[in-house]
Amino acid sequence: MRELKKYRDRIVLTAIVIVLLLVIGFTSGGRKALTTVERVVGDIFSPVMTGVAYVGNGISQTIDSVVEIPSLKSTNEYLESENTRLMDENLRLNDIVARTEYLKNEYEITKKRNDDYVKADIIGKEPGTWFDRFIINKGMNDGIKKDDTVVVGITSATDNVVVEGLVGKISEVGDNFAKVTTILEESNSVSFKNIRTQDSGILYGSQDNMLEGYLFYNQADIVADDRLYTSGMGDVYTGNIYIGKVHNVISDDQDMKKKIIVSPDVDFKKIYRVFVIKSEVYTDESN
Amino acid sequence: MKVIKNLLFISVAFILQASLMPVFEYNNVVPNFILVLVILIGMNFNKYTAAVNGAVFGLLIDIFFSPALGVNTLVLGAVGFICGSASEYLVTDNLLSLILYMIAGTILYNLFSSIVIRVFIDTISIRYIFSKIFSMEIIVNIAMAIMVFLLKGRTFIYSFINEIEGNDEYDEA
Repeated sequence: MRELKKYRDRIVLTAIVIVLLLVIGFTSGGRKALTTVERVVGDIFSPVMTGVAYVGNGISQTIDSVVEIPSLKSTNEYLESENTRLMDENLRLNDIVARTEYLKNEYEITKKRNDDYVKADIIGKEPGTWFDRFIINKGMNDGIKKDDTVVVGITSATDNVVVEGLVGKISEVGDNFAKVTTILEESNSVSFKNIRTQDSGILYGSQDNMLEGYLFYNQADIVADDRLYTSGMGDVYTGNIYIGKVHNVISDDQDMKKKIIVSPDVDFKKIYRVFVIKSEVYTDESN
Repeated sequence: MKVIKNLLFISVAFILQASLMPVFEYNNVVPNFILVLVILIGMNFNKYTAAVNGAVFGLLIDIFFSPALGVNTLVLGAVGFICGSASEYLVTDNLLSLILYMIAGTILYNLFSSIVIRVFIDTISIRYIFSKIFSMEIIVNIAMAIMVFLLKGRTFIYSFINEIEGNDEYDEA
């Protein structure tokens, strides 16, 4: 008994470590939902984090603005002329859409999907460097579900058009918050299609904010600067969301695979607000 | 009351880390204020105080960010415990020792994280592990710790924890 008392601290410590290892083992395979304790803690913290993140984002955007002041004047002039051009173009396109049945339907579908977006602010980012995750201030109460696709509006560098850029997916949902796993995380894979050839494959997170992947068909035609979109296969990500451009193609004769390195167009360092596509609602309505 | 004060301290530090620190991101690395705090607590308090504080910080990170519960609870608890144990034998009251503790603490944090992740969560490559262990995070954390040191933040943190723990282990040099 005296021996037991002597080693009490060590025994307690070992027991705690074993329990934690078991918890990690049980929860590492992914969970369907958060526990009640996690939801309560999340509900308490998320409103405060929203306020602090608002201040933080304000500071960050102010710093960005100060840095960008020299280029603002020329940007403003460019935007004014661009605005005039786009207004003309918008009038012309509205005319075409109104006259073409096919385009009209497509426009309606796009409009419907726009209604299924939930706009959310990023209120916290992971402290370490091991996972690329963040939390947003919208959750179950706003209709967000696990595996919903998260996007952000970006201007494609190739053709200067605003598109939906893929950010990641919802991994867990609380009442007023949700966890987002970005596509940069190694464990997060995305099925893609090459918009030029319609060949498809798989991408997953890599180092240095790049994505790595391979094509299903090793003779597929793919070159640098090809644009990749989500294929919608696997029912995880909504289809036709822009991922990024092919940076490099590496033919691996040993593995009989065509490996690609992709640079996403989303600037993950500078996203403060995202859009969550409520995929289930969209699928149900469109079916 | 002590527990509530301690939880409040941990909660405020966590919120600052998660929601404000990303503003100071440098070269894809966010300063890890929580890790710096756990190492500082380990340097100046006993190993159990540091381990418990580290574990609670870790639990909050797990709840909000980790793919599995317990990863950061275990890793930050272990870092706190080791720093606390080391401070029983090593000098802790000058800038050089602060820098050395930060280097060792950050390396240990990433080493333990990589082991847990590789065993339980994902098959990450050895090259990737090394790139994370010996990363810019060490420099960023040292910079943050030096700032805390120069701004006399230690006095505040230590007197606050002292009050919570009810001991007088810290004497500012």
